[in-house]
Amino acid sequence: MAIKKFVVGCFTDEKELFPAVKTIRKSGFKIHDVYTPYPVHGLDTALGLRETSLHTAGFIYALIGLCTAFGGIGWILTIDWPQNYGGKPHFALPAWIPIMFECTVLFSAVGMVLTFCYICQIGPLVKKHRFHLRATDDYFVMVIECTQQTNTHDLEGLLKSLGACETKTETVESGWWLGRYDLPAPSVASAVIALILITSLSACSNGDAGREQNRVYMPDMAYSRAVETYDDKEHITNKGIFYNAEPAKGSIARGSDIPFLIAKDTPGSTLNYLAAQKIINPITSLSSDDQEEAHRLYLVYCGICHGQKYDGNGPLYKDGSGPFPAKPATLVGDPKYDAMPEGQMFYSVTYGKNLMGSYASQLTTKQRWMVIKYIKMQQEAVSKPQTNTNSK
Amino acid sequence: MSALKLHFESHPKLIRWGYILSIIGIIALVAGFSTEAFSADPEISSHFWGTLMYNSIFWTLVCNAVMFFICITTLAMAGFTQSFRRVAEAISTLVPIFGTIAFLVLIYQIISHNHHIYHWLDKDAVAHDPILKGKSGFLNPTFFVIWTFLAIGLWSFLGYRIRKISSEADQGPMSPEQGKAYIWKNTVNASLFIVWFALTVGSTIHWLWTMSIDPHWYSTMFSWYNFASTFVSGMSLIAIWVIFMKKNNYLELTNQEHIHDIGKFMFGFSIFWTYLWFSQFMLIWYANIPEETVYFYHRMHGPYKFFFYANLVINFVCPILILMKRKAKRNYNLMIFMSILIILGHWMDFYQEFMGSIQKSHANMGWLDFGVLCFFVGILLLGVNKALGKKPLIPVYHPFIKESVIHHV
Ligand code: HEC
Repeated sequence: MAIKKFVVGCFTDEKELFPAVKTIRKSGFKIHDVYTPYPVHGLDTALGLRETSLHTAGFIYALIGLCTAFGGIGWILTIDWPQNYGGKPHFALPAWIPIMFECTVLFSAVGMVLTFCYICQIGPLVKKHRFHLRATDDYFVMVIECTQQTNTHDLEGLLKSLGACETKTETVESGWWLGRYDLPAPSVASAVIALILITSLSACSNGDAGREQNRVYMPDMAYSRAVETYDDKEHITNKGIFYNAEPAKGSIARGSDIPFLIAKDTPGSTLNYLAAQKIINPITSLSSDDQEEAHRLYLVYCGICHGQKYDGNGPLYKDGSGPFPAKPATLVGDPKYDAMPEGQMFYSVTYGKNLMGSYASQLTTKQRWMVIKYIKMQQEAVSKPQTNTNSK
Repeated sequence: MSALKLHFESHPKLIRWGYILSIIGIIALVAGFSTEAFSADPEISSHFWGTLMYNSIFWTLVCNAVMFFICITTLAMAGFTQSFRRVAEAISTLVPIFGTIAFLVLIYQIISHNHHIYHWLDKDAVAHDPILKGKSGFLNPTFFVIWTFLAIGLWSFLGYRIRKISSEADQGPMSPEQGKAYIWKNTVNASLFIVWFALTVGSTIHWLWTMSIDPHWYSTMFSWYNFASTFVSGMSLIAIWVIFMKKNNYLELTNQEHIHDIGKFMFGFSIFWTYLWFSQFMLIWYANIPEETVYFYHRMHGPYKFFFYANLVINFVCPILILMKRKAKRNYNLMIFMSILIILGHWMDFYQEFMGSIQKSHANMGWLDFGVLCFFVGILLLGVNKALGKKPLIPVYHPFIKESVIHHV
């Protein structure tokens, strides 16, 4: 910290200040600063200060804020903890933009304030030398830095001749502000520390403190009135409001299959069974892995009756000698089943047909459609073997 | 002040380019008129009429936004605009001309019963459509014609009054009392304009002219969004003309400080436009209601995809990044470039707004669009060139002129 000598001149009028600044600069003196009660338009140019780069800093902070928000939300919502919000994609950029915008503004504003404090060397408790108290009221205070050669007496005279109403010479410590604090008196400091200790200790000591509900400030904000996803719904049902925590009728979970909307026929009717002919298999082709899987499923669930060769002669039937009383359908080779639409097969596998039971509980919707596609492929392989080469 | 160049000499280059562009435009118009206007296929005829509609409406509203700028700065008691206000006034003289073209084009749609563009003109469809029925108090031919006539008529008339009052500042020095009375007179007339502007551009006129092309769809942001579009374009137009005048050694009292402020308007309102664009888009995107998403679906994923994204790049990303720096707003050449970019960007915004609704299946911006654009720009050059010569370029006795002279930012 350098100790320097300064000559201070006070002016009462902007009109005198500007020519004075000009003359002083022309005479080769270094103006340390001019303290004014309010921002004076054009003074920075008169003093020859370079244009501030505070806005460039602001722009950089803004970019940091933008990237922080984007990176944070992006990582949380797509990688770390992806959740379904209102059926939106996980990468829901439009919904993030308001938050990204807010963070941009926040970082930029706070960053600029801190930078401003840093540039002006002000901050809480920082010791600042005031060259003249009336700079905060009605004086324009020009402070000139002296060198060894400066004759302070002459300089004061010059200032006076330029219209200064008051001049003086001061020797003060100048320079970097770190480490130059106006520390509060020890008694005040210890009182503050004691207060902090007492409050935090008392908050910890009582085991039940904080568990009991105290006065609530703005209850509508603390306790949402909306029904939240994982809330206890009892208070709603208690009020006699019907609530069954189930998704709206007809909603389909993300990534799941379109449901089979045809219901089971009432006994004696075949209406829905026939209607099922119109339903198209959502699976249009099977990859070789899928084929293998479908083949496995067939052997596990169907082959025991319908036979490994799809001839309706599985171990349970064995030409009538097995325990099963009815002949299972010949899935490949029988024109009736070759022509049967996939939707109708799906109906039978889902709801059962005569002696064949329902497989809806063993196989998922997708697995059932896969097995049926697989059976169809076998039928095609037999009827036109030359065109279909990759069937098993 | 005697040394000021107050008289504008008609500029030969402007006239030459004005004629070249408007002749190109007329050729395009004639070609379009003969091949498309009366085609049996409504897709084709609507392409012609739609192109004419969005161009004439865009240019009318942009010139009208310039008058809005004059009025709003009058109400704000702004002084810095006085040194170049005559340029803005000259641009606003085109409102009646462009307005008449827009009026004729719009009225023709009503008379020819073009329900391919304005579906609500189809009486049978309206009778069987509860939504259109509900809107029929507003969306009906009678109201459309009357309101369109009133809107354009009153913009022209009130603008004319403002310009007439402005000329009083050329007659001689005013005493402080006279000055006060003069400012008050300006204020009253400007507020009349603003009220009418709010009732039309600020709300109804875009619902009527533009939004009703998708009569089932609505957005409360729509008019403001369009206003923002035309206002930044208007500011850009002022910037181009003022810089043009500066480069030809006119407007001695206008300098970088004034251009800087115009640049701030362009910068700020580009962001305002984006704010409205986003507010409109985000709510519809988030709510994801089919009735509302229809408007954006084919614009985002269909043939208008390019324009959808280019719109944001040209009208938001470019202005915010390029105009942010102080130096950029004080650089004449950069400002001219940005002004042209912004005007073209918002012209394109109008294109996708109109054509994106009139012909949803394909986007074919082509010779007709640019031809008609040339026509309007040509007329603009000739019109402003003529209007500038009619009055002294600076209202030297305006009470606020000193503020303009010492303006410093
Ligand atoms: C317990 C023995 C058994 C099993 C296991 C079995 N089925 Fe069947 N399946 C039958 C019998 C019996 C019939 C003949 C029903 C009739 O038409 O009376 C039949 C008929 C069918 C039909 C024709 C239905 C119709 O509408 O005519 C299809 C398709 C079929 N089965 C597919 C499958 C599939 C796929 C599996 C494996 C998931 C399977 N079956 C498992 C016994 C079985």
